Amino acid sequence: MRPLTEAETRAVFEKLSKYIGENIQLLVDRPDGTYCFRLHRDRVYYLSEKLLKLAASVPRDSLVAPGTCFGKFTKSQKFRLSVTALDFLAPYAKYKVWVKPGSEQSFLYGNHVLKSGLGRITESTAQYQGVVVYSMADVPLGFGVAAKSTQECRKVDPLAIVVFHQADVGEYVRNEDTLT
Amino acid sequence: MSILNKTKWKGGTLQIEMAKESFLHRLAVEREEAKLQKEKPQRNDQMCLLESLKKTGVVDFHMRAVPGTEVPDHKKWVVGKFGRVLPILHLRNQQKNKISFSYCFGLNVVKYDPSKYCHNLRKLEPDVAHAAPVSELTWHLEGGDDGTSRKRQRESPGIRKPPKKLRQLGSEALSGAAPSSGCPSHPKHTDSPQLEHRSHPKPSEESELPPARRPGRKIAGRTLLSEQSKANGITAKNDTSISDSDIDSEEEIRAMVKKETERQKAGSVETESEDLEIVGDNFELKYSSHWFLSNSDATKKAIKGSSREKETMECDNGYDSADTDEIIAESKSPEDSKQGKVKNIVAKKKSGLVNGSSLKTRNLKEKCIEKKGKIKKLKIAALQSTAANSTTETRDSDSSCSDSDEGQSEISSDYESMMQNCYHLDLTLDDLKALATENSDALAEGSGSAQSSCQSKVEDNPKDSMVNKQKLSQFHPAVKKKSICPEEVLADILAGEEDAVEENSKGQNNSHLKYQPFRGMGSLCVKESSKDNTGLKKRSVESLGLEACTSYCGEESSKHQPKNRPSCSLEASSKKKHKAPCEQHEELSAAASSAGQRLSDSKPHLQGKNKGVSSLQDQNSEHEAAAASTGESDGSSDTDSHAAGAQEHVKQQLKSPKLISKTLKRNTIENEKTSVVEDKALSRHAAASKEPSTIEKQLQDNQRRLAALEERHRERELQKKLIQGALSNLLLFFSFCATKAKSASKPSGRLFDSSEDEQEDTDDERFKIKPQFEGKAGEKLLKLQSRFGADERFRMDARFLESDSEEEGETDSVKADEEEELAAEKKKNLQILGSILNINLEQPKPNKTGMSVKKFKYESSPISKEGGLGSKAKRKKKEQSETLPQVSEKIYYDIAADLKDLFGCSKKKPEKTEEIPWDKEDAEDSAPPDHLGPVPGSDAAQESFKFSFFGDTEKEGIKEEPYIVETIKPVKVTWQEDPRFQDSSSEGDDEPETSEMEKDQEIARLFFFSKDDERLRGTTELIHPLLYLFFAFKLLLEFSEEKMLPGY
Repeated sequence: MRPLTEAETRAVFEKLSKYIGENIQLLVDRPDGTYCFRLHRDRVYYLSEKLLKLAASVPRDSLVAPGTCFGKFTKSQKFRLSVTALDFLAPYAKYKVWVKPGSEQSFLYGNHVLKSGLGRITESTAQYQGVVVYSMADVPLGFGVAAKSTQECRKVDPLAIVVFHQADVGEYVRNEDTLT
Repeated sequence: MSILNKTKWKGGTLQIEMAKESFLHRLAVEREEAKLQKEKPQRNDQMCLLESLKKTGVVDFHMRAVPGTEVPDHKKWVVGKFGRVLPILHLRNQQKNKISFSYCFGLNVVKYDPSKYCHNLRKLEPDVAHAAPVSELTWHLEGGDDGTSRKRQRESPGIRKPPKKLRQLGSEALSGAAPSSGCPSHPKHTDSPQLEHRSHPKPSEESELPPARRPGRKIAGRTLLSEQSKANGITAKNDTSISDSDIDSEEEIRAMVKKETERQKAGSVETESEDLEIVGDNFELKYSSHWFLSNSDATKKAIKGSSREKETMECDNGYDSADTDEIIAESKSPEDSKQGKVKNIVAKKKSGLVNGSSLKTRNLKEKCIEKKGKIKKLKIAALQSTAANSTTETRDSDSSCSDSDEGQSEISSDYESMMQNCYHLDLTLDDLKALATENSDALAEGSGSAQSSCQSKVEDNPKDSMVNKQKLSQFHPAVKKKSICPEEVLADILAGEEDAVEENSKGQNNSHLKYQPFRGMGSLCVKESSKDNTGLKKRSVESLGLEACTSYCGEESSKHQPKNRPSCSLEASSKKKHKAPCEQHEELSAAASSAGQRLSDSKPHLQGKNKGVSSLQDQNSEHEAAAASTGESDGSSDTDSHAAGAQEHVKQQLKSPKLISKTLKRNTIENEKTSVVEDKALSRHAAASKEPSTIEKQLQDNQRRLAALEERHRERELQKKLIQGALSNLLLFFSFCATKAKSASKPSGRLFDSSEDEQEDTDDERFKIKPQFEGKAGEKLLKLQSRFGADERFRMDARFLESDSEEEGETDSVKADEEEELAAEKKKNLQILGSILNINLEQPKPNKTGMSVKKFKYESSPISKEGGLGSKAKRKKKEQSETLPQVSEKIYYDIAADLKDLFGCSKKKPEKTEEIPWDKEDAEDSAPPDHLGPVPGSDAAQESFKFSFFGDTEKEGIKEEPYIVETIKPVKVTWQEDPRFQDSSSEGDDEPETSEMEKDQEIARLFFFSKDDERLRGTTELIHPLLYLFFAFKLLLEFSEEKMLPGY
């Protein structure tokens, strides 16, 4: 477990900023305590200072996961957000997409969101903008990338993909063993 | 050929015959013949016929074109239609029916005469093709160019008539076109072209059209026919019939086209806006179970508690921002995907209703209020199903509202969710007013019932009114008042007109007693303009004296004020009895009393509950009695009596600790200020009043003076106590915050410890947390001590801790390092973030404070070094902090937090904190005045305080101090016995203090301090250390100045 290097931090923040923009600031500089990012086995964890101290006493091999996993670095040093970060993305998300109840399941099975399943979308969503996907009851389901801008979403045919799937809470079941 | 036939040649016989014609040759010939025949088939035929007829001798033979005529010389051939020669077929009858029309070869042979059947033939004019060239044909219409086709369609009715005329013309032309045949039956044939056309489709232009879909074909056919009919009248009838049928189909087509376009549009519209809702950035999520949201809710709660209207506004804004200005805004949570539309429709309808006629809405609301059932009727048919829900849900929301009011928005989140899930009516104040006036009757009942319960409650008014409203709402669920924030109403009332008040009161509580709204006004005034009140109070305080002052102080809650007001009025009355010489005084007091009385009148029921008032009165009366008693005694014996009075007073105060704590906290400053002023005023009064009635007034003056003196004495006692408390707390405070007074921290801590040693007998001390046993080193120390057992000689002090402090320091430094690392990391992260986002991220606050504290530390660090605290760890830290700029951050985070808390508590009096440095300086500089004017009692405190600053200059003395303290204990005791003797002793002490070089003196001073500390301990520990600090300084200064002037 070590702090992120600058390049790593940059990668993480760039990825996060696609979803929550400048709200990362609220994650870094939290009023309720000191929170930090730590790298452990190529995974980035977000944890409080308190937890950090506690985790410092655990041997590296035995340490499974300190704090909340935000994602992992690939072998090519790209950062990939995992669904476990959803809890921190959802409240700060700038661009949101709501999925109709009918296509909730489809999304939770790892499929993209089609136009027919799109219930609501934040206006002025740009193409390839990171979006957080909610159910119509405002429960965060996952996140993805907008395949079409809001204006385009109005026009496309119902079977067109509007949000590319990236992560969904179904992974908690599907990838139970790999999620940390 | 015949000669050569059968001749022998080379042993064989030749057979010579005519050779067969070549196939190709024959074909060419045949083709040529066919071509020729094609050119004039009939001619040839007719020619042949005519020739044959001529041969037979018939000269004038008119070839009869009547079908069925046999061709002469040619058996089995008949003339068909148009003079065609057709063969008669003999068919074998398979059903063996003997049906023979003309000729039968056998029983089972049927003769088929085509001339009798082939009436469906039609002769085409050779120049038909010229009439309508291919280029002019409208093939492209089939594609569906609607505009042109419609044009055509519109044209076609006009064209339709000419064909009929043209038909006759055409028939004439036809008759003219076939003159050679001269067939009289031609007109007959033309009579039935339709039949022919239908029954026998020929290769014609029409048939050339591909069998397309219905509309297209029809259009094409029609246009084609219309053009055809111009040249060819044969198909005119057909054309009309088709066009007739086309009229229907045209409409059909139009309808179909329309339908289709509509369908397409609808489809596109559906796909566009079917259920795709596009929301703004500020769309609020309902889902609020998340930590962040819950936090924000928590933060919101406070705001909501104060003004709930805001919340409803937020709800509205969160949901639909369009209806904020409308009187009624209905919103429903989207249960299914089409909710958005429904909602919009509802909103529109509503808005239409609302905007269209305000009267209507008012009526609607009236009825709403009057009866639930009528709401249903009034609501739109579409809403009818939901109307019932809305009423019930509004009730729910109302109840939740009231709950949130009562519980101070502990369920505001629930409320929010509820509000989101139900229809809610937002009524503005004006509407409510109108409603209130209109439905005062209905409300009167509810308020009347709620009234009784409301009266029984003794609370501040906003709450009361809220309760009132809640009860109203509960009583009358249909009354939708609750959606309005009561505070808003009250604010409105306050802001403006009594009319509104009356109106509202009329609405709220018709059968209310008069004082109820009045009281509400009063308390509201208190709440809203507490500052004004306090200003007024201060004036009255000055006039009334200290007693009033105790009761009045700045930041009192509204609950305290009613309690205190009667007391102040009483005080004023008591003062009147004393017959104060000053008329102004009287007037002021009268005014104050009247004011108080007014308030007390307004709250008669409050008085019964105010025990504190009575206790205050008691206290005051006792105090005055004591003052009177002392007043009769001589001025020389003032001090003794003062002491006694003061003690009495203290006892009294102890009797009512609650009140004391309140009053002590609040009136101290004012006491100090007013005491000086009052003395002077009294003396002046005395001087002025001597003239008219000397004796009486002298007595009174004396009394007053004595009272004043007594008060002053009491003040002094209070101050002493304050100082004691301050010092005892100060030490703790100093030990905790190293930055505050770095130089003083260590020795004070040690002193504290030493004093603790002595105090260990008391029970409270036993269970106190001992700082020396904290941490790792403390643990070691404790172990050590436990090894020695309970032997008092081997009690472990903080002194023993010092040896271990290195480790502690190390751990501290490690901690600090961690903190620094984290802070640096955070900073770096923020920097990166800023570079990524291209925004200027402001430095987080803690960092700023850290920086400031750092600076402070740098300033203070040399001092502490000079002080030579002897702890290596500290030095180490400082060195680190100097070498590394961020070293000290961790430490100072904690400190900053502490200071923050402290200053937050002492915020009320910002002057003090400012004055502290001045006091310090003064304390340092004002050594000479101290020498000059030794003050009994207070000197000790001053010295002790000074010591806290000065005593740390030498380590050795500090180290030895506790031992010496124990030895010199008796001295302290003597000092304690007679405080007035302290003057000399303090003088003696002060001199060495100035020298500051002799250890012994210092030790003595230390000793003094510790003694003081000990003595004063346990009296007041709750009072804030900073406050005490300030008071101590202030008092010292005042006394040092004041006492010197009049006393000597």
